[in-house]
Amino acid sequence: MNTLKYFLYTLAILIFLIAAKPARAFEISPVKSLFTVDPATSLTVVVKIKNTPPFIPPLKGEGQGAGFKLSVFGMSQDEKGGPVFSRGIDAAESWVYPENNLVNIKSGEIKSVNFIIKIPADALAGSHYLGLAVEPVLSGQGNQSSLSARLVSLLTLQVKGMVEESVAIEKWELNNESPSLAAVRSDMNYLAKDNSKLKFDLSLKNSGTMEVLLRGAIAVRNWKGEELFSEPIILGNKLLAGSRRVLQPEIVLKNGVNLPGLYQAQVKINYGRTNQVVSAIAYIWYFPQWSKVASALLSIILLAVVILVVKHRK
Amino acid sequence: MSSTNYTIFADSVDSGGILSTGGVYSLEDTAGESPVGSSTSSSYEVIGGYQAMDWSVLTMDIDTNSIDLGALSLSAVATSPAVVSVTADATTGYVLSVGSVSGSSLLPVADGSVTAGQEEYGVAVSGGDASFSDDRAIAVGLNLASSSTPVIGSRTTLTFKAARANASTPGARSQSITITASTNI
Repeated sequence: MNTLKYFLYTLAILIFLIAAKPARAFEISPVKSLFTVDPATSLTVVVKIKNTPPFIPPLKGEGQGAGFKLSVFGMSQDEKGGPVFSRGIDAAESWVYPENNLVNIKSGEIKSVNFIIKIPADALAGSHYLGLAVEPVLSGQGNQSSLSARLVSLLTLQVKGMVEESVAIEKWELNNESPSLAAVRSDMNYLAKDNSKLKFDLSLKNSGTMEVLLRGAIAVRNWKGEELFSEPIILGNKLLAGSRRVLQPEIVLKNGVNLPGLYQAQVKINYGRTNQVVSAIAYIWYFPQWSKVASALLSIILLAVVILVVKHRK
Repeated sequence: MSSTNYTIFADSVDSGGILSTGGVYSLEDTAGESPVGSSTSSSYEVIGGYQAMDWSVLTMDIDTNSIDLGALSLSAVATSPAVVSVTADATTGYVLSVGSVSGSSLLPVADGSVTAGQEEYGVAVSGGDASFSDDRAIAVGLNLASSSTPVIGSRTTLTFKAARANASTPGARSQSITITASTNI
């Protein structure tokens, strides 16, 4: 009885993704488009689809060709700059729709499909990001499980009107701060380690209405505010409107950062066509290894002196 | 118009435009532009004009759409691979991610490793463009692989993994997963 129970149990826990035939290759072009549009206008975007070798199998015999489903998604950007496609991101998802939801393409054939764009009269000025998706319909799909492929062509609609470029620095601080001293110096970062490389946490938010290109640099200053050196940092690809970028830039200490004390690390971000600048400062207590050894030796000497003085007085 | 670092697919100064199609041919032309939306430097992309289209090609091939992890045991992690090949000739490369997930599954892996004897389910990726080296829960938006340069036939192996615990509820689990590829932004 126990053996039968174990047998049934092991059979019962299954994870499976099933479909009758293997997925095959297909391609799309263009991979990205940008249109500058007026409110209350309409236009058409063409996407070319090729059922390329090894071919997507036909649904109902080769004469019919393989089926491809067309759809439209909103697009946002993850914190590393990659695209994320989903429904419900942007009102513009309802402005664009495929002329036909399904298209049949024979093996080796290229077909152009139309996506219709209708910009409403009250469309908000600025950039709207969409994905035009093409997905083969495989035999066995429906209620059954499957592993399927989807190719997406990026579409940016820039609606004419007054737009704004605005980027904010949401976070700028040293990455490896000392927890014990952070509580005491809540307004400052503290570098406890003797490490010539500094790593920071940087978070940027595009709160404007269009995408921006980014350039940045970190300048290190001494306690008097004199710049010791400056290094450019890589901020990645363009930052879409409404998106956040999270980075951990690093700089190597050099040019006069050798004495213990308080330093400033200022990040400066240039962005957009208006070339605006936003900056923030992180404060760093820097104690190189030699200063810690020197402090320890000094403490020992002071202690010895105190002990000698006390003994001498007795 | 192109150089080592960038290509402009359509630049024009004119005052008329229409989409024309006929048979297997199509023609897009544009109207009334001035230089719109263009930027240049050694590290920046150029997309200028009223209608700017990157006619690069993006190709995707998954070698199977059948992933069967079979009957799970307490002593081993069940695995099943799928190989995704991507060709992207756009200068911005490509991104491969989980586009949609539906159905039922075991508990998603949360500690970076699917371990025998614990109820966990996830995916590992391998290949030159793989985005992570541990086991991750399968969720919409999970970045699987990417490249910031053009690739030809770049292969990424997705290894689906599952394990069960003594306390796992017996029963079948199944999912439908869509893998999405697009060019980088």
